Amino acid sequence: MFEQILIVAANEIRVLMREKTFLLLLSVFLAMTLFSVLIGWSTKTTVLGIYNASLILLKQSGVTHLPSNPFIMIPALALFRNMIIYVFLIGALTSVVIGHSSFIRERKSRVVQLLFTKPISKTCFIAGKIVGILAALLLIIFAVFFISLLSSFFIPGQLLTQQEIIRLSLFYLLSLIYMLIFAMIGLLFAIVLPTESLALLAPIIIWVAVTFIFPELTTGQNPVALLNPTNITQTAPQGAFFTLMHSVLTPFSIEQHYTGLAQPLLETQKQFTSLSIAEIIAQNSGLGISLFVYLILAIALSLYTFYHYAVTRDKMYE
Amino acid sequence: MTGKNPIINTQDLSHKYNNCLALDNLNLTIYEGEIFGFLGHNGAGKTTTINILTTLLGQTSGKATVAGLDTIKESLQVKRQIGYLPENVTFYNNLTAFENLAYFARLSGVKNVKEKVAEVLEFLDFTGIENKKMGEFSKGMRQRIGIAQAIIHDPKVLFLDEPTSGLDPLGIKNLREIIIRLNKEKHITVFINTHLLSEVAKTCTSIGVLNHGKLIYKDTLEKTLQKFPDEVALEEIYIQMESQGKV
Repeated sequence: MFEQILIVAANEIRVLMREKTFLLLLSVFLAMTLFSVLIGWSTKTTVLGIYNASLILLKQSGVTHLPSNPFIMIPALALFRNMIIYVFLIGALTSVVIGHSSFIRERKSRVVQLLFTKPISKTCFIAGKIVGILAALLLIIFAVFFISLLSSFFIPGQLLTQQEIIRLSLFYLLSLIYMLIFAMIGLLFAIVLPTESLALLAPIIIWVAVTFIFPELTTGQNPVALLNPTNITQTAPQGAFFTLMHSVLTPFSIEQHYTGLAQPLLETQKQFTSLSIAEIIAQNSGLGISLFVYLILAIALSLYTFYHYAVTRDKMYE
Repeated sequence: MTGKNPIINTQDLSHKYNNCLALDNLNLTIYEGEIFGFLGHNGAGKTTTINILTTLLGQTSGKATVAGLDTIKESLQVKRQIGYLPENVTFYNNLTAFENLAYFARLSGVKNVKEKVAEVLEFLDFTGIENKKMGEFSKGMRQRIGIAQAIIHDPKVLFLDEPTSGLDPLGIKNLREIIIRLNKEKHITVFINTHLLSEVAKTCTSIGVLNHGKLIYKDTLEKTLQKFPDEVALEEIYIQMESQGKV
């Protein structure tokens, strides 16, 4: 049984690594990770340059009370705060494509008709698919984590402590869960909808709703403000409409659940720096549980639709 | 070539799609070693029959066995005994022929995958293409890979659904030779769904005709050709059968 699951999972990775759309999205994601670090490095170098030049001028002018280094107050992890946005934008979209293509390619090529006549149970097959998707996401997360970690060595004075490395690891574990939810949504619609375009459109609509519409309706902030990693979901909604939307839609706004947990982990604001990992988890356990429930729900729905998928009634072949 | 042991058997097999009866009390027995040509117009119920026999679809009523195994109760065991090539499969285009075959072989429980792929390609006279991507293959080449994946685990029965569809005359001739060799050299019983009488006459050892879900004719090709001495006559009789809905 496990051997068959691994056979399907290995094939999943092999096929995925040769798909242009996936490779393109992966490259964009990795490039953005690198870019995020470069922005951090560039900002820090520029600001420190100006700070040092100012110090010289101030000293020459005889000023004795010199301003402190502006980066002393900014935690090293905050350099990676743009990753929160990249994960819920490009990471989630990449995951949708992974989940979607995982089954749609087999329906489109009619390979599914062959697979269902091979001595493998539906349980093993779908388990293999999910393991394959998880492995693909793990590869991406490891690559991104590696880039983040490596880059911290190249930014002077930003070497991460052991505690910070643990926080960064937890952030990427959280990101993996978030991305897996979207991969499962992609898989779900790839199983259930009759055409390839519909099967891609439906999860993208959900992604748009979760990423842009729900946070805007629940906070009343404009979309640009919501893409600022330092103030996502921090403002309480004002007005009757937004207050109502906040109470109705917040449980479904999984992007806000994700950012709510990711921000303290990456110490995006001063108040988070004093919190230990245990405190962050304790204070945000509701958000973590909610994300986990959404993941289980997405997997359960994918399994349910797969068990009810009948290759002989597939409208894609008509 | 044909033995006396039944390898495919259906008893009062019926299938309904909503309220439409696609298969109506089909009683069919195919013996080991036969190349059985299943004829019928579009929508006659041929694909429904093949779907039930390959375990892709459950029947509404009746019973079907392949190699003595019930297609519903023992579906996994049935799958180990059969090979199947559906119509118009395109495979994983980004993978090579070897990677495609190796995947299907592993799923079928083949252990020595490398040797088995080489052996099957050698049998099909199709060596040297292992590292080519499937996306570069012609329809005829894909059909050969399709046959290769279907026989890589040494099945007892091979099901082919409209195998000559979209092939050029040379491709059809090659496929015909392969089917006959599989039957003679590997002793595989072959079940072919088709609506091409000329192909049936050149390949099959027995034929059955399905009309609106009912089996209206079944006999060996030899006896059929005695009744209808030439291919043209066979075609005319078939059209007559179709229009009348009975023999």
